Amino acid sequence: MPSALVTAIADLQEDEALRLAKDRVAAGEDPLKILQDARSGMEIVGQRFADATYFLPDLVYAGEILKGVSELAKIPLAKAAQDKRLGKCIIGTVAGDIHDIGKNIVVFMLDVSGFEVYDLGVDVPAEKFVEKIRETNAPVVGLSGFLTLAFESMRETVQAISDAGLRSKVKIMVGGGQVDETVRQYAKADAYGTDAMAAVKLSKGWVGAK
Amino acid sequence: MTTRDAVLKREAKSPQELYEEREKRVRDAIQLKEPDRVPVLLGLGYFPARYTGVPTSAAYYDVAAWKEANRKTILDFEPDLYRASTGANSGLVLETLGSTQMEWPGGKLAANVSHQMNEVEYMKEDEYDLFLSDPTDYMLRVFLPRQFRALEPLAKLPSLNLMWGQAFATVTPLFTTPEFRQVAEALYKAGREEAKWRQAMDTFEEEMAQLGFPPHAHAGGVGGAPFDMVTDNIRGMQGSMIDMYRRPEKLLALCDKILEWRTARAAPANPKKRGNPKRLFLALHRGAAGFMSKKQFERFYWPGLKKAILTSIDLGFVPMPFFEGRYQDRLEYLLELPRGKAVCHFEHMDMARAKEVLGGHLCIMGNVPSSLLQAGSAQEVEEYCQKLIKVCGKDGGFILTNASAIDEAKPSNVRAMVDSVKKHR
Repeated sequence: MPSALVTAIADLQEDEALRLAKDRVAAGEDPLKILQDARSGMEIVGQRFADATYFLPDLVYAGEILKGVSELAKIPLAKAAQDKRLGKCIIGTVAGDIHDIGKNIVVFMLDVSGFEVYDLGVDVPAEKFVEKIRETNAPVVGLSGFLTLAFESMRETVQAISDAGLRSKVKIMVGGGQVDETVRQYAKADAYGTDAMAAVKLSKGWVGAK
Repeated sequence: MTTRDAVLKREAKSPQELYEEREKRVRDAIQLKEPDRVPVLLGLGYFPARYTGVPTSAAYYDVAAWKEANRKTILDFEPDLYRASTGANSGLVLETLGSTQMEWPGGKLAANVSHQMNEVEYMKEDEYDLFLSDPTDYMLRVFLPRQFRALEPLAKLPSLNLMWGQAFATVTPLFTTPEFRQVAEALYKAGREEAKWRQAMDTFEEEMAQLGFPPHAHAGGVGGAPFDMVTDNIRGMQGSMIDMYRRPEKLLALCDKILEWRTARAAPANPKKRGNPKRLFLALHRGAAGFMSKKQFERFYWPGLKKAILTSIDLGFVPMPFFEGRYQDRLEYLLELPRGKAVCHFEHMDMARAKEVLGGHLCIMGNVPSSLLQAGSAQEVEEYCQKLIKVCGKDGGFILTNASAIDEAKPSNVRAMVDSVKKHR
């Protein structure tokens, strides 16, 4: 039986969620436990996003509620994420492209789904992806891009990863704007996705999580 | 040989005849009659840069080079309609004003990429009432100083809404300060450059018309969805989406006001201008399935967009909204628009289904994927187009065009797309 806080967040009841969190903090409960419930609520939000019950505004709003709860619990979200168990992902918008909306949603959804995400930001040169793979040994790399020039950058990034001898160690997904199967083939990536939950599903599959 | 002579020599018809022939073909498609063949629109974007070998920054810094690149591309490919990116501001003007919303090639961006928009929240969540109660004051003293770095000092202006008697005289010492003198200089510099730039750029369409090529459409009328104005330009994506929950009434009130202001200011279509009917270009952004649910679309997006389109139709325009993203589950709403009075340009869409739903009611336009035009083969492009022509072109009401940007497309693929309408029925 999920706690009331889990349900309030899952149902996007902001006032209710904040009231419940406040009461639990006042009762002296371990803030980490409160945040864990908040994360469980977010996971349900993610599932509802995946099955098209929720859409982007709902996801953005849920993120705001989560922020409010973590402020009440006086624990930064990152700290509560230490029990990450699924695996590591490297995400970035490829060279030449500074769009970050789609990328940020993917980062957010991977994060609440239990992944340790290394967000490299936007306009990321191929070498940076290579360096980060070496440094973290992350098995999953996500390349984001909105512009058509990103198709070329994606291809170059995958090539750079191959040239560094790391291609067999990572699975690479591409996504954003106009990315489709044609682009996936062109970039020689392993998969493409049209929304953030596709990224979560792919990543889970690759790290062997359910 | 001049370009005009080249066209005259190549074609048995005069440029004027060709112009009329193309216009008629498009007009027939819009009015749901069967044209002599499916018309094709080429949305050029930055493709002319790659095709002719000039940097994309020419669109911002070199009028002559950019016009020539577009002219050459249109003459080489000969589409029925073209959409050229000749509406951009001069890069020098953007630099002088210190634009914070946009990045452009040759500015902060490299000289060979497309422009990109920054996601901005110029208006804060608690400023709706300020904006709604006195929009001009808000624009002048709050919005513009945030939008352009060179206009930051305007935030220091006193409120100017009670300036009777000699009150304004007491404001003038402010204009002697170094920062306001800088504002004045920036405005002078930007204004001079912008006037020069527009004068040189704005002759492009008439020059192309003389060569027989009509343009796709213009901005104007009542514009697109008011919600897009709020989310693109005022509150940003994050802000506007949170407002859907925390202050939906204010968000909707602002959308209504924007529509009201635009309607009051909209000029009717000028029948004396070239081209008939007067086509309007509307870029739609955040009403797509990737951005909101159908329920949210119904509440925040469609009512404003529908009203804007209907008002523009009343003013004598043919609105041609570009539905960027996925609108597959929102097709039925478009049946609420009057028959034959608008054209729907789709990006990601099952066009057969669009034809099924809208056929006989509205002309549809689309949708050769950017990915195919860039990474596919000419044969794949032709096959894709052939299928569209067969399914959507049946009985008229269809214009073939690229789904979205083709900045990096292979010229041979663009050729295959444009030529497909001449080969297939």
